[in-house]
Amino acid sequence: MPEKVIVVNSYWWKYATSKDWVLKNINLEISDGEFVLITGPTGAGKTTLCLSMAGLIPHHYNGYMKGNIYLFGKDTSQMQSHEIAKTVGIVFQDPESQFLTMSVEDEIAFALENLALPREEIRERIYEAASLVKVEDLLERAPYELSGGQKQRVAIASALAMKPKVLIMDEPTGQLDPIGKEEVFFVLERLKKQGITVVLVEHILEEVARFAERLVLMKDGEVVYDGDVRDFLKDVVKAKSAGIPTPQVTEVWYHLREIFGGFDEPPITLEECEQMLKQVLQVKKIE
Amino acid sequence: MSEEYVVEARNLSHVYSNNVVALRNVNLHIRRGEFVAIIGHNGSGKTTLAKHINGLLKPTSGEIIVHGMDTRKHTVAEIARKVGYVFQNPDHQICMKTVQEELAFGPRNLGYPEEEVRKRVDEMLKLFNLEKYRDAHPFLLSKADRLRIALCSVLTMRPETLLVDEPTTGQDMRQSYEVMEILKAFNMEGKTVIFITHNMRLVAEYAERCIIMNNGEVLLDGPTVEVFSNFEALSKAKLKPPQVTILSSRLGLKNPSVLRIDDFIALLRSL
Repeated sequence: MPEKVIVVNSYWWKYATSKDWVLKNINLEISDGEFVLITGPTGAGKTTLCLSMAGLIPHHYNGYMKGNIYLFGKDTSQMQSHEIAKTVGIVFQDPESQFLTMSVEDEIAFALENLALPREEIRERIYEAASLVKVEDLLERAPYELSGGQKQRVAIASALAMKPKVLIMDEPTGQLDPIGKEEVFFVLERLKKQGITVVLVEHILEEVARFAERLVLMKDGEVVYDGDVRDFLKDVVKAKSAGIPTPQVTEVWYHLREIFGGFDEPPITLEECEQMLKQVLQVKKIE
Repeated sequence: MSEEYVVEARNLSHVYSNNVVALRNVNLHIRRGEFVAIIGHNGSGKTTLAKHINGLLKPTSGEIIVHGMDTRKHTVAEIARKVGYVFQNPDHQICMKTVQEELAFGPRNLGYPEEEVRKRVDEMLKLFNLEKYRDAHPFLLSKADRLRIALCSVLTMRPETLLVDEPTTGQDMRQSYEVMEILKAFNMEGKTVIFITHNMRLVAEYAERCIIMNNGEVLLDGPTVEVFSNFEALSKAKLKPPQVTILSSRLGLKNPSVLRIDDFIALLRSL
């Protein structure tokens, strides 16, 4: 049994300013090495859940809480911020919101210096994190003069340099152009290969469905689905009614099956869908 | 002849003060009533072009005529009466303490009587389902709501042309389509919509015409179906068309390519 990295147990949260509970009775367990995709419409509580799992809630927000969140069995509300920061890394939609320094190197070093790590170790960790997301050539540059994709990779490197047990990413490609998005997907690919535990929030599944085995759907502060990605995509109608844009290839499959029969498993990638269509065309030709 | 064009750019170039050439020799005509998407990656010149259409930036060479006004000879305020501009980042334009005041800001500045201002504000709050936020402080709302408020506060000025820089960033699918449907309704009134986006699905579903910007130049300009069938130009600009467009092209199903999922499914049914 893989170790439980995060356990969310009957968890409720309401900001001091909010009328209703923003998160309602959330139960969620994330195991070591998992790649979990969290999706749902705007306002579903995805970001609040991220902030909670990263311990920023309740430590840095005012509000009301019920239930518990455990990191490796420890209750986050009882842990100190620096202890949590060594366990969970978090990356936000807007990378600029977390930049504090005037060079990429200082940016990645910032949290490490706060942990008072030895110089040599800081240097090593900077290099390791920078090369993982391919920003090693940008260390001297100022974060604000980088492209969107570069900025987001620096933000990811800053989080990775802390050697967290789990990396939480809240819509990391939401504000990026197609090139920037590709750069982050490339990083996701690498993180997956490294076996790092990742929680990724995205509301467009087309590009990220292939990374995850497990999908968590949130709606109005609740988890309404938690399971296999392909099983979720099978029910195209339900996914759409939940406000989730299913990949076009899945929609094509849905109708393909209806028209021609067969094809039990929905495709997730363009290539998988192309293969299916080729089979259909082949049969049509023979007929 | 020229009055049916709302935008006429001739050899339009813009060099920023740090010598970055953001636009090179752009020639472009947009007619009244068109629904145009401008696509391209960051740094391709999309936003610089948009800021020439609303007069915030002036050409460093060449010219751009907007609703018959040479932007070098007219103030931003004059152009703003014709062209409504919604910033990419709503926080760059939101400046009032309540949603209601924010929506009233534009028409009030244009000198409309208070009764008219109130009528327009009420209309917009209803249309965008923002009535519940009437007295809320815009900055306490979500980014998606702030973006819709920014769009509303431009629409209350009743512009002739609407210029929107990434109208759906941070919006979920339902909200994105809501925003696009509002742009479409605005367009159905015979008004011009120009929008910048990275969402190719929305371009395929809404824009009749599509302009690819690359490296400060117009790489391709034409009906969306033709632009999205030109894979060479798209890949040069590092853009990916919708999945159904790629599939129909790879499988040689249709030329020019299919843009919308519904058309693709209809094509499958006809096999």
